Amino acid sequence: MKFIKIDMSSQTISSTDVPEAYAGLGGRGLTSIMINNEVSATCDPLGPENKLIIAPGYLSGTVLVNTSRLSIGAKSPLTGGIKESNVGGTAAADIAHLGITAIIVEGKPSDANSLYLLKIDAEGNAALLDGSAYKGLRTYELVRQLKEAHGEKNSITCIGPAGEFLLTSASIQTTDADGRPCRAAGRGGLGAVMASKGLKAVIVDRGGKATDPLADADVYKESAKLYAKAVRDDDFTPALAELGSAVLVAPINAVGAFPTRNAREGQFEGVEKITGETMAEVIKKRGGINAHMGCAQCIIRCSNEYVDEKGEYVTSSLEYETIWSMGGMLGNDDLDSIAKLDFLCDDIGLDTIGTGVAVAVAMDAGYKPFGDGQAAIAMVEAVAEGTEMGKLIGNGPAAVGKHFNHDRVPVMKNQSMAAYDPRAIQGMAVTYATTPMGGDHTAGWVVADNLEDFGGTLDRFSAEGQVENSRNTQLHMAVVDTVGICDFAQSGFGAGLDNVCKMVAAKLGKPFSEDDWAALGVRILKAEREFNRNAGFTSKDDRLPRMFYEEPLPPHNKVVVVSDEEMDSTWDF
Amino acid sequence: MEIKVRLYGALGKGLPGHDPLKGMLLDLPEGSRVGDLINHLKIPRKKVGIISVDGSLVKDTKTLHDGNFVRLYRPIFGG
Repeated sequence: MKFIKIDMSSQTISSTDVPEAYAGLGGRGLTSIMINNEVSATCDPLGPENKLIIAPGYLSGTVLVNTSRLSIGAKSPLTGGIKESNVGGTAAADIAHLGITAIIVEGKPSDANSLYLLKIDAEGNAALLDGSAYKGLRTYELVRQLKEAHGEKNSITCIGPAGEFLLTSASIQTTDADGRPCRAAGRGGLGAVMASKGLKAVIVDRGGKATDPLADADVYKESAKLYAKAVRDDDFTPALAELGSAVLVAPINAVGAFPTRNAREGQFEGVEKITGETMAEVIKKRGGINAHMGCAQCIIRCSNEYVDEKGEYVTSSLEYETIWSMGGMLGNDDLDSIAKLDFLCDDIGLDTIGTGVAVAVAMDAGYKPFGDGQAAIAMVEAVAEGTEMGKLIGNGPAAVGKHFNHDRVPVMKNQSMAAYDPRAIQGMAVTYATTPMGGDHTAGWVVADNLEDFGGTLDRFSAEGQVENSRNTQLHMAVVDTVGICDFAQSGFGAGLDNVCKMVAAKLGKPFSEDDWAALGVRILKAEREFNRNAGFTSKDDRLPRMFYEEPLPPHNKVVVVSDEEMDSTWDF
Repeated sequence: MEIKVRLYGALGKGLPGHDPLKGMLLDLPEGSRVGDLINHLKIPRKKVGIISVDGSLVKDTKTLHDGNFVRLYRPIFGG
């Protein structure tokens, strides 16, 4: 239970016990509350006042399955507001195994050209090393060289050229269970914040043996077993293993909510070539890997290894959101080019969602035709080359829209929406508009709740009940991201929320009830909203772009019907 | 009557004759509904989420006609 603080202004490192004010927090709850407490909301996101906070979930590193989730928080250079970007891989478990609650990177080197590596050894000792030899490297080559120099048994969390160029779609990449930098804390441009601190990579030894002690290990173990059983028994778990998150492509397209050609349509006629079913068959036929384990302690295995016709590695893991942003959103039905674009984003250090949507906006503005996967590849390569077009793409959809004077830009708080059109699923309109994070599907995924045939109780074309449902989901998710449970392992909540609360209590050493869970959600959202208000956000920022209110989306020809007043009632505190 | 059916999201795993990319052809009695088709395939009803016939979303009470293409999708969950 310690904080490792790295002052990049003086290149000094200190270790402190976790202060009482942050006790019981991890993940998003910790990053958001600390940023609201300690970072000036009006600061330059790329200046010395901003802090980059890297925090495993509160339950990461324990025996509970699917908890290697890492929250990375800062003031976002993309949205100008608070940001928590969440990523899997192995780093969260590795950091937690060292008894580290958070790594806090603050200040900024006076020499803007200096570049460092942060290395944390198996005893939890941290050191800053000269990283100038790695300047400009893409993430795969960087990781190869760092593993050669520091050993295979490290997780590496790093940035690519997009981060070094301080672009606002720059991601922070982290290594998966096979040691590849293919897992992304993609949203919000945090790669640029890491670069502004002069930090190229964080190298963490994977052999830590100092996990925080549990107050009641027996109770914890029992609850963790029940949780794992609920995940294993859930019907959706085998489908996720078989097809990955790409299992969503076919049904979301079928319900007309798959934004196509920069959200001009809700169904893509080429969808069959890019469904999860097609992807899994292609991978199988070519000798790639489905049901791949990407993250530490994962029992779902939603990852995959996509290979080319020769059976050579292309990327891991090809997921729903990227198949959409580089596929449907571009009118591109060529799965091989989508896989290549996914790899390029990981390698250059870019958010696949924001980057795909930036390319879509450029195509919509007439820069290149929709459906041209090779043109998209050239545009993403241009980011690493540092060309003017590359800078636009790397700064996200709003930058591209501004350049082309094109107003069909599907962003909220400057961050692109994800793969669910809010006109076809009104609940997602509320989540996109009101989450403090900007366009973000994970902040409150209410898709199934909006689809009766998937067990939902809300009319997806009506505003009724949407605000309350999105609010409750967002509050719940803030705590899920705090304890560090994977989104796809939420089936474990089938064993009861009280079962998860028991685990929190068993670590904390004091009672933690379902009411405490709910209260923590409110505390986090209040902190995030307060930060954004102090940064200058008003209710006018909790809106969608005009296109969603004015352009009916085929095939259902609906627009967003949630009123401004309803949006404003989401956060009634 | 002949009905084409395709099962998504691993619903068709282990179902004889079902190609995950092409689906399968079935002979069903005239007047059959989608619910009858699901029973015929021995898939528990709760495992089927949305249903489309020739691209349009329908309920399981929808009556089928010769040549219809039925797509069955499993319930989803995610983020």
